[in-house]
Amino acid sequence: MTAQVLGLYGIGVLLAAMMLLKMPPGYAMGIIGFGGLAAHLSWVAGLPAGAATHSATTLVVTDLWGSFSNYGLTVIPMFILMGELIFYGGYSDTLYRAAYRWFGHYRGGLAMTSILACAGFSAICGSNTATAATMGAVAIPSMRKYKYHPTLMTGAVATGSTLGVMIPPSIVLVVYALYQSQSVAKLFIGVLIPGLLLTGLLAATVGLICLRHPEWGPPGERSTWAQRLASLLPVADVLVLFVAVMAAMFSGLVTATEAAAVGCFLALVICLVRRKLTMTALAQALHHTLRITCMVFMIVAGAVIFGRFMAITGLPQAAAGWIGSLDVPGWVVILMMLAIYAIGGCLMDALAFLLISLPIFFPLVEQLGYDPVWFGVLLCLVTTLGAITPPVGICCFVVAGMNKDIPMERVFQGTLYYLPAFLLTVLILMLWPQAVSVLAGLVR
Amino acid sequence: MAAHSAAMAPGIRGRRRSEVEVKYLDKTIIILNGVLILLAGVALLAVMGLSVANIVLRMMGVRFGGVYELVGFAGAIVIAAALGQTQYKKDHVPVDIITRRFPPAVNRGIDLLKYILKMVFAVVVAWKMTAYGLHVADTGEVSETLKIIHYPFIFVVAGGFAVLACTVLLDIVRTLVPEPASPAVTQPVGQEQMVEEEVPLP
Repeated sequence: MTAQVLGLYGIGVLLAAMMLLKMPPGYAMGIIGFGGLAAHLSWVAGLPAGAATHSATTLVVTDLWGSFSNYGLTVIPMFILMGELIFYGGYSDTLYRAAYRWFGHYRGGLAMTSILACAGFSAICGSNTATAATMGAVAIPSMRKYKYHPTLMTGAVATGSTLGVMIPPSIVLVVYALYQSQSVAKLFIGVLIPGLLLTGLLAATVGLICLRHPEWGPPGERSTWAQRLASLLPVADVLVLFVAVMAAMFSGLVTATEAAAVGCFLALVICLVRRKLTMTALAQALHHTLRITCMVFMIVAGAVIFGRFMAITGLPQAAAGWIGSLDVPGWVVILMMLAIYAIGGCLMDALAFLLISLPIFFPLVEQLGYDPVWFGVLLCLVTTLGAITPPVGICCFVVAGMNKDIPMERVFQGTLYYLPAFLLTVLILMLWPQAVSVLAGLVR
Repeated sequence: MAAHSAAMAPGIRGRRRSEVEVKYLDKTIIILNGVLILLAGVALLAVMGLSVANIVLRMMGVRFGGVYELVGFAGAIVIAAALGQTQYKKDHVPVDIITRRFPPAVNRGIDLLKYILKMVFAVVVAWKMTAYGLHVADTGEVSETLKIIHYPFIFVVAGGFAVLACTVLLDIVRTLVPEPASPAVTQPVGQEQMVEEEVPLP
């Protein structure tokens, strides 16, 4: 058996373990990667079975210790903790109220408000499921009060929550950066324009839906200018936090972990000074942070082990060489990859699919001469679509789970209206890569 | 009727004994994970505190190169000490688009196989990580910048995997001896904050 055939078998077994054994992606990648390494050392390198297993376990243990004690990866718990502190501090309500004061009186204004509040919450939270759970609880009761159509209200919240990974800080981008040795700061600054563009397009989509179905989004009460301006004051805390973290990263004077730690510290101080955080809430924030961090880290550590197996088989290089030899333009190859990522994102966790496939696709992207920062942003955008498309659609599950009277199909139907906004953003990024590089290039 | 009850009694007694044993195992796992999660929480705050202190010190012109190392070690504790609790709370999201259509008995079999594989993996890693820690201790290896011993951190990671193995063992037992109504199964983290009931399947 050649190494590359073994690699192909490894991918097949991995998919089977995840799909048929319900094995979480992190563990599946770790176990299959370990088995693959042992098989390679035994069958391809010709080591005796005992020695091959011993070498494979040594490699796995070294990789796990390396991943767990990696300084760069400590940025992940810091950004998660910052979002949790702000959530338990009750700032999600504040953000929603502020957006409502400004846009609530338009037809469909509450749905637009939900999307903008999602974008605001995403500025301090890097996870789309956390954004869906938080904003779903805040926004949907208000929309129910104004008799919004279920399709419009659930679709807006589920889709808006995908901004969790498209507005910095984004956990997916952090992992991409660390996994592919890219600058976290460049990716965070680079995703700003695409993230804001997507936010605008999603909000505009609400307007278009309400043009076609005016009864779906009745207008709310009009706020006075005094009320509108007053609503901005409490939001200033979140803005200060976001600006502080981004400025710290943009300056290049501190590491990503340090910037995130400063964000955490400021969030803690703000919540304590404003008396928004009890000891119980702080303990819950820490507890949730630890569990989310562990979940993400297991995916990363599993991907490192599986990536080592892939590298040792030489499959990524062979795939890159084969695709590179095809007589097609580079942009066609990128489009093909995006299609694979869109399908993969529909079937499994976006981060897991990203980490499984990157060892295969990333060398090719570099070979074609594309900017890795631009590619990372594009991937983040395409894979996050999976959170609102069937059959997995985790954000739709969260929103439907919170509203038992609304069928899952209606939530998925609601998110379908927003697909053109995603496709348009992809198209703009393909035609105008400067949307990413213009700001990313300014980072020192 | 009396004969029927007498025939059933040993089976019921056996089942009750199994349930009591599962409860004891459950309590032990809860205590173990509780201690570790406390340790992880302290390590998480240490990551934040050390990083902020390092910036402040740098601004004052004091350079302390070993902070990155300490933060890395604290990060290892954060993850390893949370492994068991994350498993206990079922936070690792599985891909169940195919298996959700299978009959419950088949799904139980699949769960059992999955848990056994996971436990073997956790046991092997805990064992080999301990061996790695012992090797580092024996050779007197120290960290690159601070020149301090770092094998205790490796042992913490090994301990985290050992507790993970115990937690998965509890899942295996639960799969084999299902409780009449299990309250321990919870929502994946991030969803449970707001979702009060289980997310339905489409």
